[in-house]
Amino acid sequence: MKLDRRTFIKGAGAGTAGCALATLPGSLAALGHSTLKGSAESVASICEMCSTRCPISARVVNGKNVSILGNKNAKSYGGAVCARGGAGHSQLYDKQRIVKPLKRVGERGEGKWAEIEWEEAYATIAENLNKIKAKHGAESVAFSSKSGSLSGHLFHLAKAFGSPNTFTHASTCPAGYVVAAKAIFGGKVKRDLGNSKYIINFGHNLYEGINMSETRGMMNAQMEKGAKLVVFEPRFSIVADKADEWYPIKPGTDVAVALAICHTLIEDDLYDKAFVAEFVSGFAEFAKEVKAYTPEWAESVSDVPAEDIRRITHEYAAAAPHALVDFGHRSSFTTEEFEMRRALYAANVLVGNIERKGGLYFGKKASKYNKFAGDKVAPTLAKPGVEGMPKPKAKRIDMVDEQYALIWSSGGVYQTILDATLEAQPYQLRAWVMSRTNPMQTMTDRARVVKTMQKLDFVVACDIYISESAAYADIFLPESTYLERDEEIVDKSGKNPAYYVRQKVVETIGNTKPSWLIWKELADSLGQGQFFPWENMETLQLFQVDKNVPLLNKIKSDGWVSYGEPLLLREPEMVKQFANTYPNAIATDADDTYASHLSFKTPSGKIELSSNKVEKMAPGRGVIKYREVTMKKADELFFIQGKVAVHTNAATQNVPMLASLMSDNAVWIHPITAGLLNISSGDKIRIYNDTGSEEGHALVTPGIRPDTVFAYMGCGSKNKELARATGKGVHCGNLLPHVTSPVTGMNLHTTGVKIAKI
Amino acid sequence: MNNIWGSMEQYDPVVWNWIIAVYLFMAGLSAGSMLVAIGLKWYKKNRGLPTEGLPVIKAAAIVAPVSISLGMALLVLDLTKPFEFYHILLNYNLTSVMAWGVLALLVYIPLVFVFAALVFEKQVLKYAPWLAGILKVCRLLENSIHKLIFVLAIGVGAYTGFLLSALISYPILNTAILPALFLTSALSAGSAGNVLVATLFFSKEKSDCIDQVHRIEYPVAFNEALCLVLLFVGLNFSGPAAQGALSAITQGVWASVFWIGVVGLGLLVPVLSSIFAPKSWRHTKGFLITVSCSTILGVLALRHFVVYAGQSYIS
Amino acid sequence: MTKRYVLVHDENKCIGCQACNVACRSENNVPESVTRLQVRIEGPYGNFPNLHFKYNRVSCEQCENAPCVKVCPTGAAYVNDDGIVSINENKCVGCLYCVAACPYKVRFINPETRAPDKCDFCKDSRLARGEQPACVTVCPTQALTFGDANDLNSEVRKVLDTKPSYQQKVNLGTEPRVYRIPSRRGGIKA
Repeated sequence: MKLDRRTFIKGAGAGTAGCALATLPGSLAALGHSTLKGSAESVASICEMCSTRCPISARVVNGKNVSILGNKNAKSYGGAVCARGGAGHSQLYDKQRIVKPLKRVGERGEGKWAEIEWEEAYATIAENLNKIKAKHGAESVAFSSKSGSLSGHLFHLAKAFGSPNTFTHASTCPAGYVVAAKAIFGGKVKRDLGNSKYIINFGHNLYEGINMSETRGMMNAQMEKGAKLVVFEPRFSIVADKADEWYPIKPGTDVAVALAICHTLIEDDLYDKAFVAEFVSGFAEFAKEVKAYTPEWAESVSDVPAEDIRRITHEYAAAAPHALVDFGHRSSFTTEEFEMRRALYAANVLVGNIERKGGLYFGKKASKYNKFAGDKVAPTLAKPGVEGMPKPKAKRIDMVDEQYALIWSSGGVYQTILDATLEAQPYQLRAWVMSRTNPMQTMTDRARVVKTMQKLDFVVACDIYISESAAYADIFLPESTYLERDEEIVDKSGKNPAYYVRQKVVETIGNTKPSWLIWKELADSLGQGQFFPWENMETLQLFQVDKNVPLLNKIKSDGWVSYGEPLLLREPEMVKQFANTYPNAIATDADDTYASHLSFKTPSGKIELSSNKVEKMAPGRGVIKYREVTMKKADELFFIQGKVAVHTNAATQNVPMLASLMSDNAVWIHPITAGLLNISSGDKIRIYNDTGSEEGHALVTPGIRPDTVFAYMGCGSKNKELARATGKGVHCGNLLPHVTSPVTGMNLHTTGVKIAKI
Repeated sequence: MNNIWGSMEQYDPVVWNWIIAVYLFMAGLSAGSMLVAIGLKWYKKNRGLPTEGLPVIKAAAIVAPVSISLGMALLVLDLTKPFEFYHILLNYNLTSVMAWGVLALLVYIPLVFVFAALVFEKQVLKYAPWLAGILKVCRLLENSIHKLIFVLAIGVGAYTGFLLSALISYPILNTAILPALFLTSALSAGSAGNVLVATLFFSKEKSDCIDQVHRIEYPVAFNEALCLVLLFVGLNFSGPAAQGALSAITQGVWASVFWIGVVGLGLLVPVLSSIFAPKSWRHTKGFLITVSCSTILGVLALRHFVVYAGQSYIS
Repeated sequence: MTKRYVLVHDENKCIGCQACNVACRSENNVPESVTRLQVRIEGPYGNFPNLHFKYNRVSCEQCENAPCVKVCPTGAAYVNDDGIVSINENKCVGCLYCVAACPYKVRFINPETRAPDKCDFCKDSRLARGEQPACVTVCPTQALTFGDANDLNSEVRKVLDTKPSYQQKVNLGTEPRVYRIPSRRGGIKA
């Protein structure tokens, strides 16, 4: 099937195509005229319009269009796809997409580019990086990538090159709940929203920051199974709208309410004593600490009425164990992020919902599942290791403070790149290789990021567009979009093992390459080719399945393959069913569960409500505790941000179809506040603080606390290459101060601002 | 909530613009001019008076065909597919007011040209002697043709009103008054148009029936005013959406158009000037031209007001 | 038995995420400057903190008594046997009468065909292949139910028989085939 690009663009991207950038070097518009091939039959693949990475099914329609739907084989996704996923093809054929390597010819960030061949790009990068390595050591080069998918290939390159400094976006987004889970459970946990009867949510906006299976699960629980949803959030978000009860909590005080819930569970004798006795360590210290955190106290801190906290806790306990407190996603709301997420986990632990329906559970990967089944129910995937990989000797730049130890292996403290570059802390960083990451938007204090970029000797960016960050690169490497890439099989196990795989839907457009290939070829130029022994992606896939071609073909044709039945170790019905299905299964406990097999990778092997390990890392933080923090000046308003359903953080603002849905982020202001400032909806406003100043528009709405303003994040790009996004709306990163939260290493997303009409 | 669903431009309730307003005016002008001319003819005939060469009738023979032709040209050019105009002549959906309008105009327009040709028979034959035969037949059928044109002109005048009143979601438009309003204002425009052209090109002396035509303006103006009162009083009692639409005459630019254009120029100027102007003025050319222009502008304003304000308020 | 396709939009399940909006545009190649479908998130209404949004699906209502069909002079706008209000572009002259007549303002001129365009339940593409309309298929929260209301066992029939629903502007007598399940939240003007 031939797909003519020009016909397509005429249909799909006409309106905004004729922008100033029609002649941007290396763009699809500049190169034009190539004919494309794609599959008319549905190809199972994986979306990448956000990090949820939903299973999709895509095909070329009438040689003109790419239809993207959900993959129906993945039951919990139900064949659905969100607006961003559905618009993936709009990015694929976007005229402003860069499809040829570029080198900077003006000043950094000036927007002057020249097209180059891949060979020149590789040679330039190799020359510069090797020079820096020879002079200052490999560790003076940082490598960062958005986590997941191909980030492993970049980090493999970093390792081969000899640098320990690899970073994901974690500390700017989800690391808070990951680090807290590591401290308490010894690893990540999942939430069984779909089976929950009572859900307490602290601003985890699943109805705007869509995570398909969780979003669907929660809606199904709410609407079909009568689950009750309570939301604590300063803004009236969509999830607040769908809640049975919404409390406009004071920004950053979630930890107080969570602790008051724990207090009530313990003091009113509502907690699961048997569970705590068997699986929890450090309960006594925790109970002693939370004794002071009464609902009345929490009310004084958070503005949530004490009687409601008490009532909600009782309702929650009554619904337990099929009830949960959602531990959230993007943070951080406060510098006390670590305590907040831990308190949220504690509220789950106390009702004993671990490995119960509607509670929290651990992923059941094939090896674990097979062990319980006493049989090879699901195939396991092999992990390719490369012999003789060098071990970087230098310390990571974020290894300055022991308290961040838990995040070192989970993406690192991303923003330390700024300190290392600008202040040589702990040593001087000289180059930055980044892939599909946009710290200008997602890291706080944009001005500081700019300074960093300008100070570095060498910057490489690999992306689809010249993002705000890529605009400061010396070499830009155009990556193929997910619709043009094959990748490794991914483990997507939940309550039972599952795999899926990304596959090419259309042939590569222009002169782009998948980043796994880019890093492999760059390794060759760097002289580290021997560490990339695989020929292509198929070699890697075959290695994963141990040359089991039928298995690989099944995963490819179905796109989503799951094995066995859902298993929660403490859910008698499920365990009984499981034991009946597999004759060689491990014998069940007396109570028909596998509870005795529940183990945690913590020092004590138990759930650590209080932790000696943490106490050692961060003295005073072993026990979950409330600390007052000041996040704004008295005369400022709280400034908070959130996700919108039609954009993915800082990544999709220039995608034509999504840009035409929304390209501006008018700032939410309560009518009372707006009245005092003489602001009406649509008015032009300045929003400013000590960190930065932005211009935008006001949206006067009762859906926000009077002491708080809100904006959807990701807008207001300042580089001219993103023609559809630049200058539209408020740039949140330019208003957030450079602050790193204790233990989690997260940067902070709540601050104070002033607003004025202009 | 921020708009995350995209542009709202296409949802503008104002679909039809000034071109349609001008067309509606032109069609009304043509129909009104014919009604006045034929009415005058019958009036004279009944009294046994001569009807040949009356300036008003000559004027109508110019006004009616020219205005309907211009109107049709505007209408066709305003189509999104003007070159596929012929489909509307081949396919008829009889639940559509527009289809009936097309049928009426299909007969009306040629007949208006026949009317004009008969009025200017000499001149026509000078340039197109080959039409002599046809004109002879037409002359024989002249009385029937007049009756037919009269009926069709009522149809055309009222149809423009029905065209809009069929738009059920616009309270100002979706009323039975509208066709009546359009017909009466068509008479206003038609008589004023006839008087204007007659005064400018065909009048030799004072009398010339211009006065007689001028006299029908009182009852017509009265009827028009009555229709407007009925329209807005009716709106006031037709539920909240309709009541909301009343602000069309109290707020915004269209309220000004209504009070200054429709009421001021269209009704007050002609009526008051006829009452208060000194006798010596009344038959002067300048007076007649001013007053008829004012009336015509008033009716044009009315069509614009109805089209724009009418579509601006949706239930 | 003739079909009577209807669509039910559950405003409690709808999260206004625009997945339908995008899927519709992609499936039907709708030009960028226009749209067949959008879900407007209106509000919040009510009084702080008892607020609620209204999720207003804006697309062709597939009226049984369609004003657009009634006013079309050439019959280019017609109701198909399956109840879907359809457009025969070849007969259309582009008089905009249907666009003006639509009480829901969901007809627009497609800049490529110069003819009116609007939601047709994907009848020539997905429906013809026996699939559900694009919006229904992709909806993340299953807020849309589509089917033949004349089929006693259909899902739509069950939904409409068991849940309260309303249609927009029923007072105009248009009898829309898009039904809406109202939000469970109330409110009174302050």
